[in-house]
Amino acid sequence: MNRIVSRHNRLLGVALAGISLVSVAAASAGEISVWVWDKAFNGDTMREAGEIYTKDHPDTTFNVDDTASQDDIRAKLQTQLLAGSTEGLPDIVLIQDDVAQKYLQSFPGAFEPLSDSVDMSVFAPYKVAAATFDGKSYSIPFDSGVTGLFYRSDYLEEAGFTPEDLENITWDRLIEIGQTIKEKTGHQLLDLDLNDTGLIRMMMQSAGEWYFNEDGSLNITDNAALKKALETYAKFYQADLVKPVSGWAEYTGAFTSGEVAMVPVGVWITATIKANADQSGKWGVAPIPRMDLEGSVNASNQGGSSWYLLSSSDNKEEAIDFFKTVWAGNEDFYQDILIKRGAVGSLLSAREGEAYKATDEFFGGQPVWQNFSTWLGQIPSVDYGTFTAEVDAAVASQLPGIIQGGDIDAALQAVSDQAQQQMQ
Amino acid sequence: MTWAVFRRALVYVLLSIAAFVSVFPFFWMIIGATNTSADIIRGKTSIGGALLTNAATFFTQVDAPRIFFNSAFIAIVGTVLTLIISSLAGYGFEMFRSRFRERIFALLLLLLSIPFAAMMVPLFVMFSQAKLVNTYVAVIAPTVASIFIIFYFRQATKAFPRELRDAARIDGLSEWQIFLYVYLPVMRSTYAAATIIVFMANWNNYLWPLIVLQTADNKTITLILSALTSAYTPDYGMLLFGTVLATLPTLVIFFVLQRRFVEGMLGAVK
Amino acid sequence: MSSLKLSGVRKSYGAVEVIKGVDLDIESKEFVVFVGPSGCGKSTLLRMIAGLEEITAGELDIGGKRMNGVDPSKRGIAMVFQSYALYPHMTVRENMGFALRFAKVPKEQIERQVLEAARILALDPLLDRFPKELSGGQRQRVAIGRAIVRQPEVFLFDEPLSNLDAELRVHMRIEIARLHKELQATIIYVTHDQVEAMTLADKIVVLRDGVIEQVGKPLELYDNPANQFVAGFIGSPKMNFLPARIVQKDAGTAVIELVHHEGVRLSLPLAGGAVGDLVTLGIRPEHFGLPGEGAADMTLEVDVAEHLGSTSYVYARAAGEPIIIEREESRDQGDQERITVSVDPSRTYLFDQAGQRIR
Repeated sequence: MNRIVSRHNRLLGVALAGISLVSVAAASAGEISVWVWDKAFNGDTMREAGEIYTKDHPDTTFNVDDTASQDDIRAKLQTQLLAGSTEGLPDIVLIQDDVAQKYLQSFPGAFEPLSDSVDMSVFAPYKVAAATFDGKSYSIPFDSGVTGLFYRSDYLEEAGFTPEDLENITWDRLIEIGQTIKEKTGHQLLDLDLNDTGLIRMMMQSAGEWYFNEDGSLNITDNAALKKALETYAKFYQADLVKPVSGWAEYTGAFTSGEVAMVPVGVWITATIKANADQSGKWGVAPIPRMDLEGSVNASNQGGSSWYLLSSSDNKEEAIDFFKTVWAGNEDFYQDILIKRGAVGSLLSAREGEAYKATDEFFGGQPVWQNFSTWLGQIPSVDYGTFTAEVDAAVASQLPGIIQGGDIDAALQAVSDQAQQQMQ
Repeated sequence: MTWAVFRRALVYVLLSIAAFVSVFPFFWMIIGATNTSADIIRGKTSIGGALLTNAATFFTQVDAPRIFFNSAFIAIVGTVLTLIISSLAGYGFEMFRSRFRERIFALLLLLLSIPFAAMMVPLFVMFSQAKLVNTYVAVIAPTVASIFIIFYFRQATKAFPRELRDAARIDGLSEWQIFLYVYLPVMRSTYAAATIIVFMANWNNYLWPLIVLQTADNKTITLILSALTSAYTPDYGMLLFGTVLATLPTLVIFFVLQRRFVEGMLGAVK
Repeated sequence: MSSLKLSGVRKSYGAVEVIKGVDLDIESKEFVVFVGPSGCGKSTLLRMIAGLEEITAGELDIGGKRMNGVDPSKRGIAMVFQSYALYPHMTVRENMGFALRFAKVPKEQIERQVLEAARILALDPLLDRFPKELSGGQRQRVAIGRAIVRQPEVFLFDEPLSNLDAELRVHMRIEIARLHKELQATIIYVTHDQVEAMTLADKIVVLRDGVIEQVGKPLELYDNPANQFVAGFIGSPKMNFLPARIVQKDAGTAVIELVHHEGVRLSLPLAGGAVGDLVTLGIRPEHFGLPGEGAADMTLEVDVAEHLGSTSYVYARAAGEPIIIEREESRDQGDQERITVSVDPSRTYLFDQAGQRIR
């Protein structure tokens, strides 16, 4: 006879579940918990910082948890802050700069105002601005997303150009160069993903503009920078210089495999590019082009994140001391993480360090880090606002139409309408 | 070639395409687990020699025994509890008359249409106040009364011969005994089918475990794999190796129960 | 073995009353058959006796003890279902011993009783088979065996032969009759087949619309139906009913004339009634005589004749009314267009307009 399940089994199951680790993630006194989303880049960097601190302060240890993706972390933060329950939240959490304002504005009081205890002037101003709300700053800036135009120097040469030809140019000039490259080498210029508005935001920020005005209202239809960015974007497609891709793997695959000649992107792509050791010497980095618009410079930002301290933390003093000692004070640390992982920190004084002055063989002996540091100081500050993600989605939905030659003004209006609706 | 022969060939071609499309992802996954990340991005479709390397990387980066234990515990306990509670409910709805029966059942079906995201926050508040965040209980509890499974069992019970219950009552069995000794054995294939469905759902459950599990040592394999995919430079070889491991339990359960599963789908209850 | 008594038993589902006051006495060791058309309530009544349905009003006594509300397993009954209701996941042996297992009867005794029942029904070679490996007839026997093992006071059969083919049905009927004798059992048997009723029953209970129409021995019901319904239900082929009118009335007798066959007049004993009253004359197909044998002759047009060998059924028509005639040894009759039969008044029945028998 089959006695598959009986009442007893049910009780046993419940008991087991109960006995099982009712482990609430309470950081043991002196243990600082940190949430990051990438083991190799931000995870290991934070661990290294933690080790430096623990050496001098053996009572304080660090638990860096990298087992969640960035989307996961955002989902958890959002849900828990909304639920008003901080059970299990870490002491420190890494948040990407362009979504930080959303959290600061939606959940006032959830984060510690670090500007009360730490001198923020040591960091790149645009990073501090991204985390400033109501006169106080809430983050310790981490990696900068300072952008550069990474290019295949061998293709460039084959097409008859020199690295100097890429200095201080406009996007329109780049399109011309790209056409020649395509003629002479057969390679496309860029790869672009229609779901990713990164390039457009990059262009917009280079002119000091963003989706929102200072008061938080939408800045779309009158946004000259955005309009110019969209026009430029469309031009790439119309000149047939784009390899279309979808998703991260395809995106990185297109340039690591040598299919496309250039990629304008944040400095954090370095690790990905350098992972192909056999391409050493075949790459270079130029400043990104600027838009043919007054106010646009050859510097911008894409991505980049910062450390935030949650108000619910039990270890606030240790955390703040940790930040002051290592992140706001230890220049050697910044050299080390640059060399090891290509992490360009936001501590202004670190730019004077050895590693930053070094040349990089991989990039044909260029002093890339020096260049990035210079550009870092030139990035225009913008206020990312609370609804960047929503406007992004609206812009992305218009891209397919725009690249086919659709009316840009009409597209802008549509973006504005959709965003307006989302923001209700 | 006659029309009949041509049609036959056409059918085979179509079925082959469909079979290929279904099987290819598994094929790709297994091949990928033996290749390096670079090879995978380049689209290599032959077996490589990196299986051991990928395995080594995976086991160093992930606390596999612990993570798999989490997934297994949650999936197994969750499945057992769901089967018990939901099958009892389905049986009860079909077997016992009551004035409110249909109205309650209609209400349950209505609840099915509420998206989980709407319940997520209140659920979290509940468990937070009960100090049960980051526990197995919190992950399992919301899933045990699966409305879908209740519905499934109620439908299946319609095919259960009423007279068996009458005969059992005359033979002196209490209602509980009838459920255990008559209903359960007769409905074996329904339970098999339900086991597969529920186990897969629990094993692959993503959103709620994401919200309610906080520490790395409590997370399930689905969460870990997801995190690994969103690294800045994912190691696809290692990732696919981990995915193969993660897929195994469901495959095993399916193969073990598949005979019964097919029976259950055909509704062969005599 | 026990006796059974139903007093004023009623059953309602909500506002609908399906059993409308049944009184019945069943003797110990009697074979009683509940018979009636679909929906008459016979199965419901059986299930109420079994305890599977609640008794809305009235009393049920088994063996002199009040059984209303008593659990089915404690009433001393065993039931054989139309679809056998065998537990598909158990062997024959386990099926038969199932109830005893739950009564906590020691294993050796269960084995003994199962073997005994198996012997009675010749089930020995099948004991370790599963129900799906058995034929319909074998399954039915297992179902009966399961009932026997319980050693009940009363056996209840719910249309047990309906799912069997014709030949098997005859065979099982005899088996059941034999069982009744051997076990000396009280049996209540439900069927819609009046042949089963006639052949098996000590007593037949005819039901219609939740009411008992007549109770009695089979031949009593055949010879002496209390109303038109029973008269038409018992006996196959059905009794013919012809409209008639009283044309002459003396004390104690009446002359009636068939409405559609003026000229056919019969003199019958009849107590009440008056000239001009409309009545119904009932004649069984087998009670028509050859021309000249009876009191009056009728000539009819033949529609169809069926020849079964020793018997023939002639489907005839008179003035648009269908009549069935049963004839022995009359194969050539069907080839004719017309047939003449005679009516013997002593083999007729009179019913009033309400269907009640009048004498």
